[in-house]
Amino acid sequence: MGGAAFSQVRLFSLSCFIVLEVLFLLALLSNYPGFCSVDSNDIVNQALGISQYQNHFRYDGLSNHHPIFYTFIFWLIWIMSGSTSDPTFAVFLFLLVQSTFVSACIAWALGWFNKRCSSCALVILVSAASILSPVLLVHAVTMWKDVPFAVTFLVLVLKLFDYSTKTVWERKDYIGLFLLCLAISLLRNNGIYISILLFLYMIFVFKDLRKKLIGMLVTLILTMGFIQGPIFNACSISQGHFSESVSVPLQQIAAVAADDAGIITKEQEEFLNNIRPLSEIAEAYNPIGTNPVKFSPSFSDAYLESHKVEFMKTWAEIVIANPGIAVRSWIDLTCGYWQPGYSADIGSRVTIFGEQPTSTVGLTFNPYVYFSALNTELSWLFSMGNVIWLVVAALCILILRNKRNGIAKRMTCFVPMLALELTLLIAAPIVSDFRYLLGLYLLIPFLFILGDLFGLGGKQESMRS
Amino acid sequence: MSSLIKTTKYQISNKSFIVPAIFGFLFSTAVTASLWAKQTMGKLELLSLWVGLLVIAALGLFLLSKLNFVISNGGGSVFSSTIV
Repeated sequence: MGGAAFSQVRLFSLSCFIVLEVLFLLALLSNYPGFCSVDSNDIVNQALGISQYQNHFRYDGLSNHHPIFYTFIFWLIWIMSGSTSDPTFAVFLFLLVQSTFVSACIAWALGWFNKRCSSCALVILVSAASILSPVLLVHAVTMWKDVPFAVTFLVLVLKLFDYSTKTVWERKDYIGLFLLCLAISLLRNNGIYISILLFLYMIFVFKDLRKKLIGMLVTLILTMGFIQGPIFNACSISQGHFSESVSVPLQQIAAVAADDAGIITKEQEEFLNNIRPLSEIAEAYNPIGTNPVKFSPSFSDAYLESHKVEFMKTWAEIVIANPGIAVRSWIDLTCGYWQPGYSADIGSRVTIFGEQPTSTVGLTFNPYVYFSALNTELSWLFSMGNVIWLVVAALCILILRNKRNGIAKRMTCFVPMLALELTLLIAAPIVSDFRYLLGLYLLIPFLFILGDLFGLGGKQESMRS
Repeated sequence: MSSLIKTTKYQISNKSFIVPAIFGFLFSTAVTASLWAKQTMGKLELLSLWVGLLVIAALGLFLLSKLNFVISNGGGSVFSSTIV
């Protein structure tokens, strides 16, 4: 083992950070105030206190539909920027903070890779692939909660690799794991499910740490419960609608309703008419997304939320009676996250409230255009459907190469990756949103070590021993 | 190459082919299912594609796990690690 490829580990990470920060700043200044989407507009409206009920955002005032923690951070920055009615400067400052956070996490991750790989060529290759990735550039300067989630997720997975190779855990390891899980739970609504699955796996595998891990899991659930219970009530923040968690069932019901061969009984139809008239559901059905079914004034979230059990029962009955249509609609809705070669557009071309971004430095450097051109020529390189197969292949190689060496512990870092994919297979509202998979995409270069592809994971163990 | 074939035969007889087989099954099922949903291919074509992809993906992963890639500053090399 020759140690780190670049012996000045901190200097290496700092260099990566500076290069990333300059790139992101250039992208922000030449596309002032940065890129936004409809979701970003909802977040800004909430922070400014002007959020109103709309078809796509069916809430009055504050809501956890887009995790409120992300909205809270924007609100803080808006307050610090002078609380003006024009949020443009606040959006710029917020994206500057977000891109700095992304730079810091990616630079830390590259430093982590450098410490565990003695090949300068491989470290340079991985660093270049990460730093110059148009996918990273497009997302870093776009106002989406998925971006800080993805880089936090990256840090969590790499730290899990470290924890799984340790024989003795220090106090800072427990605190680090808890804070990372809390962060991903606050940044995205499926984060808590990923954290719970991770802790359950660790409780099963790390037998000597079982008591402490159970304590951490209970503390995490209680903390999230306290935030989403008393704190939400005190701040008049409404929970996200139940309909967001049942995208797949809603889509399958719509597919059956829209299909001439679909079988729905009179009783089922009467029940579903209370949520939204079945004829409208059938008309709104779109194989690649559930939103048209929900985004309507005639869609009753209140009725659905007060009849959750009946809805799930009706859905199960409809699926059993129409298995072919149900499976096909599930494939159409989720294939973007697992179909090899599936490619989609990423990013946003507009800024806040649909305006066009402007260059403040007399330079045209639009990451969206840069990515779109590359995506046209090299779509396989940016295929969101390939990502999960790289992860699964890396996991299989790890198992094949380390059958006898505490493989269950070494597999821990793959649990959040598989859990993230699982949540998308269960509740993805749209087939082609790359940002949902960004965390997995950023991890691809690190699979060299996580999956022991070059025997680098083994070097880590021998280095410690 | 002959030692690699011997290793492959040994691993299959030693049930070490289960993990690649699971990977091959999942991968080929994913590809075939997405094509089935598009309704562009017949059942027989889908079945033959499923079997072919299963074998190729499983064997590909198995061989990949047996190769040791060594990247040094001067260049790269690949050799197989055979344990019979």
